[in-house]
Amino acid sequence: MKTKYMNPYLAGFFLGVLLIGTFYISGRGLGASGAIKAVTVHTVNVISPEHSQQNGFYAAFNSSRAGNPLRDWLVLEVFGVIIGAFISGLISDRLKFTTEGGPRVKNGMRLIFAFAGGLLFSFGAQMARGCTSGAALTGMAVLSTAGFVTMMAIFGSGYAIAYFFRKLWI
Amino acid sequence: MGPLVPDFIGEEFNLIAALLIGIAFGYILEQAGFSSSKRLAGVFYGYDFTVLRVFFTAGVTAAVGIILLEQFSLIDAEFIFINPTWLYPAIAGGVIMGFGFIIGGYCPGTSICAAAIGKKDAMIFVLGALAGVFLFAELFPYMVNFYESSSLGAVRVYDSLGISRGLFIIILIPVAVAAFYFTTKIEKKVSTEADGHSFKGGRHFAFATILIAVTLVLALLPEKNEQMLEEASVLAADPAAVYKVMDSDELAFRLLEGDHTMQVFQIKMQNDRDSLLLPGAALLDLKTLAAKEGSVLLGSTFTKKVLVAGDEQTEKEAYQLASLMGYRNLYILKGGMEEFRNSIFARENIEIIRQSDLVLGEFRSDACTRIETMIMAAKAAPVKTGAVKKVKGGC
Repeated sequence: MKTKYMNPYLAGFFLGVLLIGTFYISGRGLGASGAIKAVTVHTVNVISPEHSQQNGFYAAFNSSRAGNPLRDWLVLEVFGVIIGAFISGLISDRLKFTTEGGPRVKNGMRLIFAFAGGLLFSFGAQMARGCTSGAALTGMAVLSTAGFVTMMAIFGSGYAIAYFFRKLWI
Repeated sequence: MGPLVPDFIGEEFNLIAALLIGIAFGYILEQAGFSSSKRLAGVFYGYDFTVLRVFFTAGVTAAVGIILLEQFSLIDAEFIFINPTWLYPAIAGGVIMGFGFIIGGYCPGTSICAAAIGKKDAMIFVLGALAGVFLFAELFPYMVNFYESSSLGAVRVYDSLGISRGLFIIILIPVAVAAFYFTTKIEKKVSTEADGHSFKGGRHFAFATILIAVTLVLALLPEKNEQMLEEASVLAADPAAVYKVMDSDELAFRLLEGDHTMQVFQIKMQNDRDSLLLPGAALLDLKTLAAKEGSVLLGSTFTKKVLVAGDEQTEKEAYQLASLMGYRNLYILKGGMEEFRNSIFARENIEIIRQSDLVLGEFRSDACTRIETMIMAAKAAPVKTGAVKKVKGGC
């Protein structure tokens, strides 16, 4: 049985309520790129501790969010995202190993672009100190300047370049 | 009063909460269709505006909800994490993220979500994202100057724009409603299979009406702290109001005795030329006092809280504010710092007093020397300010 997606406004409302609850309980918003950062830094720490001591980026992370990565708020939250999305996929019968892309893109090509896109997105998220979740959405919830600036930059840039990458999607 | 961390629930439970919040987050994202890169990319090509609908509705709902919680004192705005702004890095990072979005078809949160239901492209996107952090870290030494540039602090967007929060909401919500309306029109034109075709006009209209009504209510709400400050200044303007007053000599005496049952709060004023900070005093302005940081400092019931400012009127405002916040055992310094200066620190005045009242003159002369020494000693040591524990946050 193929089930439909939730009404987007209803989903948005639930997501908004979840964000409010998150602020009420933990005093902070949702995030994603922060967990990816935590995993990367902990990996570097394990492989080459000397290297992570010399580099200001790793050092800053290690001094503020040191310790067991499983005791990191964002890492646990993202662990939850995996579980929650899996449950949703299970309920709505969408669990399937597949590669998805635009109609004109071959799977191999799609995977190369996915890697490049992930790399760029994550690089940008480090620069802006947060991604669509942590900076834009959460920032919008607390009406922070950073939230709105980041959101406009992401979507502004996306629209500006969409035409040049149209073969990827349409 | 929220947030529940760190006062009501501990670190351990916060981590369990993180897991549960994440489960709900992942579930909602997947149910909304954010596990599909084709759907996500649709927002840039006009065939599917799900991203915009979910994102804007969530942002507006959360912003409205947090304002309401704040208004009814259910959450402390001073304690929640406002992501600080570094303007140019935020813009540059956002532009790069735009490229990542178009090329990769996901953002980090949605890629994790899509990977969880088996999308191989999403799993590869996550690997790319891990590599992206590594690349950023390795290049960090060359970018650190830019990364740390144009810091504006934890500013709110309405302050940056120089408008009130109410006005900002008046603009934001109708913009969201208009965006929903026009993007649905675009979607219907671009794609025959778009969701927009199945939306019912009546429901949309009702939804928009609710949003506009909420806008009007919010626009009329004053900001809570400002409301209290205003009320305090009205009360302080009443000449019949009664205050507990401490005069300069008593304050000087207690300072010299090192009286532990007393805490001095020195209120900073605009255009304050008075750089003299009394020994042991906590320095704060009226706004800070109205916020949580003030209440943490004012916490103890049994200490005499002496409110000191350049002039007595400001002290009265602070007094009214603190008593509105529910604090007792408050005092104001008679005549403000102005009088304290004239009676304790002006040697020529002390000489005049000495001629008529030898004991008082001797006391003031002695106090002048000793308090000055205490101030010099305090300057060498760090000043006690309104710094309190902060909730950690950020990406």
